[in-house]
Amino acid sequence: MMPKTNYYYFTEQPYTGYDPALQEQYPALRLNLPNTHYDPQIASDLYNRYHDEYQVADDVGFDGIMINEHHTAPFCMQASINITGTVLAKITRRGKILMLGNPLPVVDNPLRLAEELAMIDCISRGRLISGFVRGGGVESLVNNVNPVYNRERFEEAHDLIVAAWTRPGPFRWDGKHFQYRVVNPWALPLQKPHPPVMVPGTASPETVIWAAKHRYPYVVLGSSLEQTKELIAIYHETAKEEGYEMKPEHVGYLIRVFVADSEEKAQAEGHNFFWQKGALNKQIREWMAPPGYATVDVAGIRRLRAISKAFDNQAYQEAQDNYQLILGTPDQVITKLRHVRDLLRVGHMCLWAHDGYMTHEDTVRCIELMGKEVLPALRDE
Amino acid sequence: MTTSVGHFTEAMVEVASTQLYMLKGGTGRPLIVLHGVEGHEGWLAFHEALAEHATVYAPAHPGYGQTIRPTWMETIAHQAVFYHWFLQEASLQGVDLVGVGVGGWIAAQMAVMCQANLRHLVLVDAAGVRPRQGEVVDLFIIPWREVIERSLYDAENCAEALRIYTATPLQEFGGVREAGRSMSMRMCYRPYMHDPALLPTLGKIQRPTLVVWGAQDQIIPIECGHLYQQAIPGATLRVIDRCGHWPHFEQPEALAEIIREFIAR
Repeated sequence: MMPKTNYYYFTEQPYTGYDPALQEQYPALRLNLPNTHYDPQIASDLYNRYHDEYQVADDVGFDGIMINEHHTAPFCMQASINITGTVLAKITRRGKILMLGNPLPVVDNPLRLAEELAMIDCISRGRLISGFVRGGGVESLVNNVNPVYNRERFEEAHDLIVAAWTRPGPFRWDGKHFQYRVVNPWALPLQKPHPPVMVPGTASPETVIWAAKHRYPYVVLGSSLEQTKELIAIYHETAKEEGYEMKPEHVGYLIRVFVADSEEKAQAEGHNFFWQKGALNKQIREWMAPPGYATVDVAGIRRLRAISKAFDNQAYQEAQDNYQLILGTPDQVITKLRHVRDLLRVGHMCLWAHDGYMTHEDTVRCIELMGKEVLPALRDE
Repeated sequence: MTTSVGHFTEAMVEVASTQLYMLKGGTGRPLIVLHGVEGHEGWLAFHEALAEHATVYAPAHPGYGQTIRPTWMETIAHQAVFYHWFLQEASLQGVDLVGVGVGGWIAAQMAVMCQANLRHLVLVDAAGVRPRQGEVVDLFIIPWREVIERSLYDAENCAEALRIYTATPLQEFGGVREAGRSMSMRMCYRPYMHDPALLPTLGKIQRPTLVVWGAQDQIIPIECGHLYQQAIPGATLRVIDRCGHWPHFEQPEALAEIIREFIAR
């Protein structure tokens, strides 16, 4: 018997307006892909379209919308997760705003971040789930924050934000990376003691352990099931050491899934999840993990990565056989999603249900089928 | 611990509660060679050539693998304090101080701080000042193999580089070089490869200073060599032709000869 699982809708908000032939010259499609190929008119249309689709997801009964942030990346148009979060606070009514998340190390003023998140929590009437991430190497390079301080800054910014939310002001903060004469924000979160925090990741055992020590749910971002099971096992072990029992609510999983009225349609649209042809795996090591970025367990990460194949390196059918990509009619998708959920025993499932060049109509139909058929079936246990 | 290998000795020297990895060889006046972002690659042909006329000290900077970083050490200025501490502990005086690349930056910073124990200063393709016209290549966002190739005028025929990178091939992650790259990142990331306060304070230096640059340095523009030369009173600039950013790898004999000639004055 599974406890209640929450289901969230997710899209990267891809910017699809550039010429795909550019990938020959810029294989990773990041950092040095010239932004002269960015058309604000296209972006304007896409932003608004994606927001409309969020509203549909909220209306049809998703438990929340998951959003994220990346920089200098056409695969994700959200240069500020807080902007999208603010939009969601006003245009959705019921679902949680699941931020996965604010990249703390690249933030130079975490106090302002605490204030912005508090505002989003108040404006949304307490629907914020405030995820925090370390961010990939490129996020540090683009924001010009020293990668060797990534973990230190992550931890200190987190401590400061939670303090700003929970500790009565005014007080002084004299940290290694952040110093404030007066911490006394006049924007405090509605949820008490503070909005729920979640932490996503793909492979770093360090991050799992940190999340487990803070009893924050850890969401595995689409890693293989084997790798995900290992990461969850690390959480389980850490929880035991910390003197509590890990429950499904402590772990989540992001999975690519597309539903259509026919299997043929779903199979055709699923190719959109490969729309950038493995660009992220084509980043040089210096972009993905600059020297000093991984402080401890590079070997551990590599061992985990070694037991699985990156999504983009899998063949289309292989990805489906491995439950990395779920495509089909509602009935087909229900069976597979239930399998993954019950195998991993996760309390949070983030459904990555749009990518690449999928049209607005196909995306909306997918969201509707999920809301009307898939989610009710998954909840009806 | 001291062991003798060929013409030099290898030792761990305690400085500021840190075990400093040190190669030492030759006889004569003390001469210290501070390495750059390439890290400590052992006893080089360059060291050997200098050791014919000097007692050469070739330490590995804290954080570059062979020497563990004390937790307080975050900047080039900290390195400079550390090496002054070393001079004090080792009772070294009248030192000829040679620095290559980031090592040149450390050497310049040491000279600005205190020149009491220094005799000559030699800066080779030194980091530390911001070019006015050009840019220092961003070593942190290109593959390390490319850094090496671009640091040499003729990488395919650089015997020293071939010897070093054949003996210990590059690995993508980990190893001693990973530590060194991380330490360079820690100290030189922002502002990138310079300290705005260095150039204006170089005028304090009162020691004979030689600035050496590879004519084909593709990493730090030769413009920076001119800036150093103009800022340090009485400094001389020598340019080595058919040579990139790493003269100590590419032209070890020529570089050692220029230095020998300068410090013999």
